[in-house]
Amino acid sequence: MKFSVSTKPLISGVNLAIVDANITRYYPKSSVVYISASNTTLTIHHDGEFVSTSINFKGSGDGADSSVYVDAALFKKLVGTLSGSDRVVFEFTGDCLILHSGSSKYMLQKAASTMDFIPNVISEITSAELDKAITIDVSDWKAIKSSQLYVKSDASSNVLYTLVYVSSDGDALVCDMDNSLLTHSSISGIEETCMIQDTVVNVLASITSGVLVKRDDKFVVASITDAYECLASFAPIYESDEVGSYNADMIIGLMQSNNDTSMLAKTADLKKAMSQASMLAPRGYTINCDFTGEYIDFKTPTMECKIPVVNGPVNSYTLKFNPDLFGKVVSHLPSDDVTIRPTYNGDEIVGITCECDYLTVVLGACE
Amino acid sequence: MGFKTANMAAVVRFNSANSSNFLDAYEMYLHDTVQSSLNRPKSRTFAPSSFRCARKNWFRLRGTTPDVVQVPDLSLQHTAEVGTARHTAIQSKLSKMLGQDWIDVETYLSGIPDYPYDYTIQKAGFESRISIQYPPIKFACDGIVRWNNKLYLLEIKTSEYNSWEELTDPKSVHMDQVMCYSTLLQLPDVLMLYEDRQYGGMKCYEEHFSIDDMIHVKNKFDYIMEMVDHNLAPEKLPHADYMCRNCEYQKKCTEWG
Repeated sequence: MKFSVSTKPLISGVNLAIVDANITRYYPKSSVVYISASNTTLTIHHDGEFVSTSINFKGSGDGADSSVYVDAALFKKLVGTLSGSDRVVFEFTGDCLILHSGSSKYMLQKAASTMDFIPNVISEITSAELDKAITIDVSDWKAIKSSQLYVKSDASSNVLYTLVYVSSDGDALVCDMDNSLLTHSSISGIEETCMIQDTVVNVLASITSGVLVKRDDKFVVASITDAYECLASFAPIYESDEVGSYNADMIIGLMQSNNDTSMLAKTADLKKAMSQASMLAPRGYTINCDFTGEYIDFKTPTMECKIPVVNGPVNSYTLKFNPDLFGKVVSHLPSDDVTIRPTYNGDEIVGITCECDYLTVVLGACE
Repeated sequence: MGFKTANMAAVVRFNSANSSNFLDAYEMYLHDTVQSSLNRPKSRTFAPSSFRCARKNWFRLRGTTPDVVQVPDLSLQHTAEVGTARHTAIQSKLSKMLGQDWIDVETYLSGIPDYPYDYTIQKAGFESRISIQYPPIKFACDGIVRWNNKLYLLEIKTSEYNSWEELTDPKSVHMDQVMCYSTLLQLPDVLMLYEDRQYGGMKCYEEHFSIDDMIHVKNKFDYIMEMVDHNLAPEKLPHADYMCRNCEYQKKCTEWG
């Protein structure tokens, strides 16, 4: 079987369907991609952990329907280099896949050990489903990925906190309870309260535009252009007695604003101070932070760095932080200025809350 | 408090609330009419006027919905309407001048032995709108004339004064369209009449298309239809071609590379 497809949509589509971040050796099926062809359609299917993506390209095939598993990362990388010709021909032989581009050809060996794999190919979106679809704002998911997903801890003692919590009101929470690092935004567009894996966020953030539809107990994301139809399917997880509660109300409550004590700092100043602290501070030390009316004073045994603030608190307070965590927080803030205020547990200051643009972050102090 | 200079060009467009409302209502009507026609799917036929671009004809044959136009360019619509009106005026005068040498297109076509295409003709004033089944195409013939005992396909073009004044030959961008008509009507000789829309100046150029030219046109029809069958995007015009500026498939064309 030989199948011809236009190059530009192939490259764009493969970039959508195979998300690098979702290829992991911990989930062997993610390391391969299933490619099948019929007379009119080429389907590229990738199963990441908890999320499957199928993309259908229109084109022209001759011969019997064929399919093959090849290495996903290699296939994506190779396709990305085939921009020299306006079409690519997929040649399916028994043992390998040969890609022809112009007068060149490239051979990809059939992936080994795929005997047990069954691709979860996603069926097309019906017009009835499309009528009820929600439009996805991709920029919001890109923002969640870039400014919140870093918090997720794979090694959390509670499996719930390896997930992203989204609510029907648009809340998105990613929290690391073990390190008292909580992030919140109000930009998730899934109109349902549930939890999703980071692999799903990776897919939502990679598409260029799309809609979300509910199909049985799953969500299907569709990104449809004139050249291809890309579908991703994932199953949300719901709070229950079995999996427990994310305690979203409590977390969001902790983030409630108290403007009387907030100060404004430059994100760049904070990043610089954290970078200097990580260079000079001995391993394992915490960083001492004095939040005063005029500046934040960062102190370690080997440095002291004061950065100016606006509207600092009348009553200064001092907290200790893990410099790595503090550094991570400031390096993922999405704007130039950040509002910082103390976080209370009763009357006791237990950390700080950072607010900028759409994002709120709570970082707990070390005891 | 700051002051801004008044936009005089906008202010002098009306002199009362009523004249302003009336103008707004008419412009809104024009806007809506043009927008709805732009956003409508095109007929699944070749468009000779854009025959230069295989990609655009491919989109049409596939029935691709044009890109959504937010703000239609009303000046383009105006230019097209002025062009149509000038065509009618010229055709009316030429038909009177030529009398029996202004040839009825239907009579001409029915007189061609073994004419290879299934067609229908619809007359609209002096123009004949021809629909051919295969290749699927619809086009309007400006006229067929006999001049010095030779049959010519007449193609009327109107253009703005500056562009018209610089003309020394037919515009190259018109040649694919005219070659297309010439091939389908089996009329190798063409008179191309250019009128300046501003002052009514005229220029006329004679063209002759060879058998090879006609084979090229037929091959291009076949190529585009084959690309439709295979779902493969054909070549597009070179980057920044003038036709791309107002193309209704600009965004979709980018997706196909």
